[in-house]
Amino acid sequence: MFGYWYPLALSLIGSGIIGGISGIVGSCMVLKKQSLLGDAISHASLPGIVLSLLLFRDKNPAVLMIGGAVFGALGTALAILIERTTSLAQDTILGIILSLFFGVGLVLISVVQKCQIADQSIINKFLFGNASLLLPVDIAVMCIVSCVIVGVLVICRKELIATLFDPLFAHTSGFSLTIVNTIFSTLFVMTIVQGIQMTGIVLMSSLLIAPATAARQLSNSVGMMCLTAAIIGSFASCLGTLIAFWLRMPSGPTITILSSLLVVIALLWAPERGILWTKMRDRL
Amino acid sequence: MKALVINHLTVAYQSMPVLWNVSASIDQGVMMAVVGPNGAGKSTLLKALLGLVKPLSGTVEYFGKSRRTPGTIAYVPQRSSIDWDFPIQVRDVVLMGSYARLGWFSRPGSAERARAEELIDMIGLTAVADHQIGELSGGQQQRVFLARALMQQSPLLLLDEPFNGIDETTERIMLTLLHNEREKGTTIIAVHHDLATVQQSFDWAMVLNHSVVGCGPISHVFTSSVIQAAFGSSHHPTLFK
Repeated sequence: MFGYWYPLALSLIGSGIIGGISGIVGSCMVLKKQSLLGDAISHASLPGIVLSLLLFRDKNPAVLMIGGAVFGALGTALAILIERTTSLAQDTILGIILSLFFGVGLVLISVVQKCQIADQSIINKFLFGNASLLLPVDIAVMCIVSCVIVGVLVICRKELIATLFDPLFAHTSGFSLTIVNTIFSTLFVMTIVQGIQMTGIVLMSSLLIAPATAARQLSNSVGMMCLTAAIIGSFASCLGTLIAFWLRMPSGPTITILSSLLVVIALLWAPERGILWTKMRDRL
Repeated sequence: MKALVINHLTVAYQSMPVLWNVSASIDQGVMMAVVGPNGAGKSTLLKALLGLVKPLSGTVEYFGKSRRTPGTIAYVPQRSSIDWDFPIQVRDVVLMGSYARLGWFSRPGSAERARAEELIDMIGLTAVADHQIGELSGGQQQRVFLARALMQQSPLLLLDEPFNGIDETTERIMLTLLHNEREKGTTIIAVHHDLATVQQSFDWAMVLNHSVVGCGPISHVFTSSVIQAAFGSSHHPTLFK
């Protein structure tokens, strides 16, 4: 019994942490109107993860995650550089970065498979997520990284909200947009790279965007939106992990389906903003 | 000391000059309308003063200093530049006006909160202070942004089309507050579209059409020859009857 419950408990704790922190950081992403950035960062991290596997021949998630973080940051920096130096629209740039890095990652995966460095389960873990493979050390790392993210958000709350709401005002108030945007990008990369183990590269952006979108329907302040998104994200992650455990399948798809269902419910029934809620109110 | 001294300012977007060799000297404590035809560079001038666009050449002196320090300028943006669905309450928007003085990491305290409540009362929005800004009418939203700017207690206040599409009550409240600020010595510069109301609401004017056609007290600048030079001969002939 212990052998079954122990990994499940670890998975649920990890799911709760990742779901919560993704909800909070995803709220910033949604309010910053950079929902596609999450998708670009998670896909950009793939070559970093596979390259770490090739270079260090080490399956330790921490080592692979550092590789992923470096490439996630590289992808973000490249997107910013292209945006500053060309007249291309942001969604076009992110689409290019996403497919370029992911393509390079897939090429590297074929090299890993040919060299027989790692089996398919490791690759699948990063592509589609597998909460059941979490270890106590992973949970410890998640706790530390999440505490750092929440700490930075709390300390810089005033500056970050001002920039999200009205960047020109933040600039004229003396808050460097370069510094604030670098803080945001760093937090995005940290959150995405640690969340990949749960939902996988392909579906990570849903854990960032879906809880935040549902929370926006239910709150009228940034603090309340982050808190609500954290609760929704944790709930969807834990329940998704539980279902994935039961069905013996990757946790990413179940978490994504659940969080998307919560978005649909919120879009329809959220008080004051839900489509059906407002229609019923207008009839009464 | 002058509030602003603009020396040969030239600003271009992708090598197309929008402002060309703009020079002006603006006294402290005046309320100045920036008028000109569409595309004359009025909003670009405000952006250049705020440091949001980099000029190709020229300099600006703010109260005798070549550098603008945080809190020197308060800015009321155009309504269209704001995301009205953003989850933020009226009270918090006004409180943002204290951020420039507080600097990084410091939080607004009881003094800032009391001042914010006082300003919300002055703009007549105490009853909706905890509402999300998108729930307010266009005029009420404009008042909130004026209150945020007044919260900054800056010596220079820039407004981009503040009276565009607002109700009479809002216009009256805003003009009263702006005139009070001018009495306290604040220099107010507003991009303004309605030539018919310039003389009754402002005491200075800058007539702009890529370069300065005229700048100074209304009685000197707001003449038919200057307006016709900027807008063309057929524009508003009734203004000067």
